[in-house]
Amino acid sequence: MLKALACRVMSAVDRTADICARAGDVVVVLIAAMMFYEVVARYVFLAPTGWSQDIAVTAQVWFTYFGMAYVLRHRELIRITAVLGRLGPNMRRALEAFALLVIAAFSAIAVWYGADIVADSIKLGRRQPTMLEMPNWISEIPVVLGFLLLFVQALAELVRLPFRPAPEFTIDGAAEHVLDAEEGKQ
Amino acid sequence: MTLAIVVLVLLMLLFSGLPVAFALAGLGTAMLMIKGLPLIMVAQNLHGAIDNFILLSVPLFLLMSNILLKGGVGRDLFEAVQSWVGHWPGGLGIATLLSCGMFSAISGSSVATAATVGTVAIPEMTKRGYGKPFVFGLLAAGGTLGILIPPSIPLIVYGVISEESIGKLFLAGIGPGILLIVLFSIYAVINSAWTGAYEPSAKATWQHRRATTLRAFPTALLAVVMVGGIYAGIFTPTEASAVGAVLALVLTTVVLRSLTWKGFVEAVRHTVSTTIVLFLVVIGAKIFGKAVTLYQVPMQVSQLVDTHVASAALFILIVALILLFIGLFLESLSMLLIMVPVLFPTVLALNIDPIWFGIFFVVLIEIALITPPVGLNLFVIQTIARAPLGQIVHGVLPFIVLMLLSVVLLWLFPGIALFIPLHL
Repeated sequence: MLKALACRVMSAVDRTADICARAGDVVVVLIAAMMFYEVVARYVFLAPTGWSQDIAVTAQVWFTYFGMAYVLRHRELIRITAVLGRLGPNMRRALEAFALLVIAAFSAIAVWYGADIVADSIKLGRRQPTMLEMPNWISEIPVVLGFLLLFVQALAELVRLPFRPAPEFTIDGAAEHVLDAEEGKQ
Repeated sequence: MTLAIVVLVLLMLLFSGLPVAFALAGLGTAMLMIKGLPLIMVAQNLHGAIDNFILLSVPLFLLMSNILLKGGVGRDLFEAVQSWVGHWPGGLGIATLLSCGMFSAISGSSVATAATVGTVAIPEMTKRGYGKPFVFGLLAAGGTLGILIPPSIPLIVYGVISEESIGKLFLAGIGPGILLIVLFSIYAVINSAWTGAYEPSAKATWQHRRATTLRAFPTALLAVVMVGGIYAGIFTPTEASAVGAVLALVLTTVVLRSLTWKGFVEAVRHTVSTTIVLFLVVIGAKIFGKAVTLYQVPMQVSQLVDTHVASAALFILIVALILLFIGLFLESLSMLLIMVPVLFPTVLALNIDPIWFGIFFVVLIEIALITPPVGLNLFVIQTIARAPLGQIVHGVLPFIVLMLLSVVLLWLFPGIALFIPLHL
């Protein structure tokens, strides 16, 4: 019963991370479209938008912070594996646990103090000194929510750690990704 | 003393396998706690770290590069260049290097460059009898041009840290990029003539040359539009990256018809993951940078240099040696984000041109990409070629020597980097 509940919670945590990352895909495409439209608006319509820059930068903050849990789950974070890759399974597991604890602790600090800043911004009605004068909390809240997701994901990974084979460390995730794609074409 | 302790703890955290972003952020936070500073500073830095218009060009240049990668433009570029120079002695090597150079001009990533050109060039070159270590070394080193020839993600990040013009940094990367292509090409010709280990390609017909060149032309034009647009002040580097991404999409879907929906989705997904991973390092470095500044570490380095280092030349030599050493272990962007904030005040104090220093730094990062045990391009080639790492490392050694030679030439003739941004 407890095990089934734990599995359901873990699966919900993973699904949230995946959904956020996939939303990030759409956001990146929209950012490209917005910035391209800005150039078109300036040279073709002779009427620069005045909103594209603010919205694109805010969107960048949103997709980055909301995607952190996904990159943790898929072990894509950049790390030095020169030593790690040569260690035995128990040591690799212990160091992975240490890494997840540091990530969780840092995330907790970010959520706690980040929430203070958001609350202050809402209370004081702070606005960005840009053309659109967007309220500050719009670009501050993803920090809090993103690190909250990361905190939960780090805990989930920590709970799973003893029940899985010790993590393997080979080469950088980014490189593997490109290569997977290339192999797919061959 | 503080400097030594910070360096030691950071190295321990990094080698423990803690992700670089959290090693930097965690150490920075701990330093603030030890000094009794309010931790709200951490959150303040998190809020401001990536709220930056220039950094917006990173995901967009990555998107362009990934779309072109999935659209298979590497093969078109290689075939076009090969049709012109493939029959020369070492001609396939030159074709490979020129393809790397051209792909670098539409991509800010060395991994994408090595993977794209490598997938096409490795089978072709090995089929023609070129020595495997030579081929692997050539591709690993040629791929590093991706971060020197504009657009370049490390140069964008350097520009953000140092507040230097991204446009000027981009222009300054062109000269050293061409220098490296020339040095590598000379080596390719000499190596092929000396060993004779290749089967010359047949000279392509004019009809074939025209057909392949026409197919590759729009891709080459894309590079000209982007860098030319930035230089002419038509658009900012960030807008150039968006224009590049949209044009890359049009090129691969409408003109070349080589990009599938699946390929596009993969390109976007990879862009998102890579951007998040890179930006996390930027965020970690921002917190670490704040802490080391409050501990006056850059000032200590500056004083140390003032006391013990008599000239800019000696400073550059020491920096080069440090970067070569940490480049053995550290990933490229981390090198930039950790070292530049610490070194930059000294660079200015010694009247070293900051644009020149950016290029010098990126060439050393390129060397780090092909030096074991942590040389990303070595692993890229290893995976594509399914070859032993030792064979690739053996092949890359002459190229490391040539890159070191280029660093020396860059020091002796700073105009290699500065002529274009100063005179255009």
